[in-house]
Amino acid sequence: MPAPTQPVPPGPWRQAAGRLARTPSAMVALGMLVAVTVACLLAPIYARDVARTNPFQSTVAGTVMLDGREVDIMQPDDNPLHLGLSPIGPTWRATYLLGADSQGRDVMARLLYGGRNSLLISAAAAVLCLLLAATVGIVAGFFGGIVDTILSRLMDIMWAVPVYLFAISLSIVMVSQQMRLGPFVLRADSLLVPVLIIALVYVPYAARPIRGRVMALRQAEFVIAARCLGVPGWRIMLRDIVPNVMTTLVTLGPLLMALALLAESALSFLSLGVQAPQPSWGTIIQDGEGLIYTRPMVAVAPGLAIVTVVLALNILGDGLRDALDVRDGGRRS
Amino acid sequence: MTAVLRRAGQTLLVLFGVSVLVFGVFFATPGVDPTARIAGRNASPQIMEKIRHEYGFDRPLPVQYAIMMKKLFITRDLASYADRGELVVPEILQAAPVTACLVCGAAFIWVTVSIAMGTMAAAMKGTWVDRGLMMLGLVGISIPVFWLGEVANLVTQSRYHDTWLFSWVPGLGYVPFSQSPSGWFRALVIPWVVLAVMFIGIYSRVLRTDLVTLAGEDFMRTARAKGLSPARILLWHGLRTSMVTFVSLFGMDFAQLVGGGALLTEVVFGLPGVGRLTYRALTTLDLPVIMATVMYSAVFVVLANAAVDVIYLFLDPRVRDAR
Repeated sequence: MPAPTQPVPPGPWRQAAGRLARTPSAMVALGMLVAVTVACLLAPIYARDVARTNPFQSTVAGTVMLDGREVDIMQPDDNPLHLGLSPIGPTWRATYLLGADSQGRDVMARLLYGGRNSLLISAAAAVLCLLLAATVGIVAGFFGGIVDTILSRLMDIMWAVPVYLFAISLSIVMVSQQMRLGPFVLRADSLLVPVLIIALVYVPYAARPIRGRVMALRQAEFVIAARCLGVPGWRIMLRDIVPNVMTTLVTLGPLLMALALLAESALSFLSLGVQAPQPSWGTIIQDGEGLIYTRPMVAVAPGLAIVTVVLALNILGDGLRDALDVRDGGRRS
Repeated sequence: MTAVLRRAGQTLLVLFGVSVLVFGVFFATPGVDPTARIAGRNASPQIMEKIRHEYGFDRPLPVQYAIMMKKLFITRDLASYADRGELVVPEILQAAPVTACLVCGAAFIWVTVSIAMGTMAAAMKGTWVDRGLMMLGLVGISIPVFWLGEVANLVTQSRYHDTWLFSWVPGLGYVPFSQSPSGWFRALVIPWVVLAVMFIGIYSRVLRTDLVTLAGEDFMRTARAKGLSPARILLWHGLRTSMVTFVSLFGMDFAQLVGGGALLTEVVFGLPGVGRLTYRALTTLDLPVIMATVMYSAVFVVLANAAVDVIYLFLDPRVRDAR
């Protein structure tokens, strides 16, 4: 008599994906993120074929054709009290859709190029931070005792320095001069500098919930069972602990990327993150600071982009937490 | 008592660790010369030599560390070279009250608003009010504070400054309380609100989660079974218990902000606090000032956290008896 065939139930990850797909807010957020990312990836095409400008070149003396008329990019100020030149405002046409910045560069094109850097840096920083934090959290939580005490104290010490001040301190050291670490030379204007800094300062934030999860797992029946069977420690760590910590990591991912994006923009705003001529959303806001009263769009547009992406990441993080049913991950920002 | 002593010992250890960390970041980063950093831009070789000797950069690292700590906390004669020998520590002490005013006002706003928002959301759990408030909180968390400040300036200083709504807003800058209390208040209201927005988001969400989780606890069920009114249960039993998490979060954030975390807000609104001092030092690469502010803030954060822990020890019997 053949054994009755039972339908294989979907795995936990697939179940979570299903739950996530049934959360409308998370799906909208995911859609937004994909849309923004695709738009930023298309930046060169936009600059070349739509706006027909070079967003990296200062064009203060140039002119632009609008509705068949030739218009100066730098225009006399419309406010009679300011006797200066202001860059062209939003045209709402293909060229200079959002106007120009103080160097006559197309803000929309720079916004898209800046988004590439901002998104790349925040995503890379989030991944690197998770890797570091997972290592610290798993080692501390799994071995416990003196190892845990030392690592936890180390995290406490790092966490005592206000995050942005810590990031600023590291930046000022790394940005002002190139660094030599053995054969590696880290150039001051490399995008790796903000990635490293942001990843490092948020390690304590991410390591704490991971450590907590590992400590709880250590008491779990299947881990004790494996131990009783004589399974070596490293094997328990890799086969039993790590897969179960993945849910915490996945939940922390978007939240960390949101924090990293905010930190990147703040550092770039203080000229300590992405270095000119590379744009990022934070540097564009800084460019627009001087024009805030005359041409507010330069600073407002990148800020809206940041808010949109960070909000989407936070909503996605919330959705993932509910879908994966993680209770101890990423409760505060 | 032993618990307090143990906590004090831990605090000393963390203080030592923090000072080593900050010192290390600034002066022991591999591949960079600290002398050039202290001297600032375009320093002459004589000055470089003087600094190298004064800070002991020709001697081993522990000696350098000791010299720096002495200059920071004992003799307090750390001088800025980029700014013509201005003494750093008095400058920090002079800027601190401005930061304190900014942070205290913002803290008052964020605590009251987030308690109201969190409690309301928890009371109406699952309704559109709850969802709306929590989404509002999430938006608050997602706004970069410096950008919000710029937008606030745009609205109150330029676009709507001539309407009745914002005509009372003075120009950017700070007015000391002793000079004009009303001017002080008007200069700080907008920065308070801007700084509070993110924390309102965080705290209201944390509080709501806490209250909702607590609703399943035994003592809450008992309160319901006794026939107490829902409002009384939520406010008297629930909110009071949630305050434990709330207060420990608050202690940490408050200390971090006073210690310089309000830098971006101060820069955007031109408030001459510790954060703006750091920022000005950043633009001139004035390393002693930056290091001093970071060191002082870290020390402040550690001490404040220790104080909160000790207060807990006396307030919360569970913590007290666990030791």
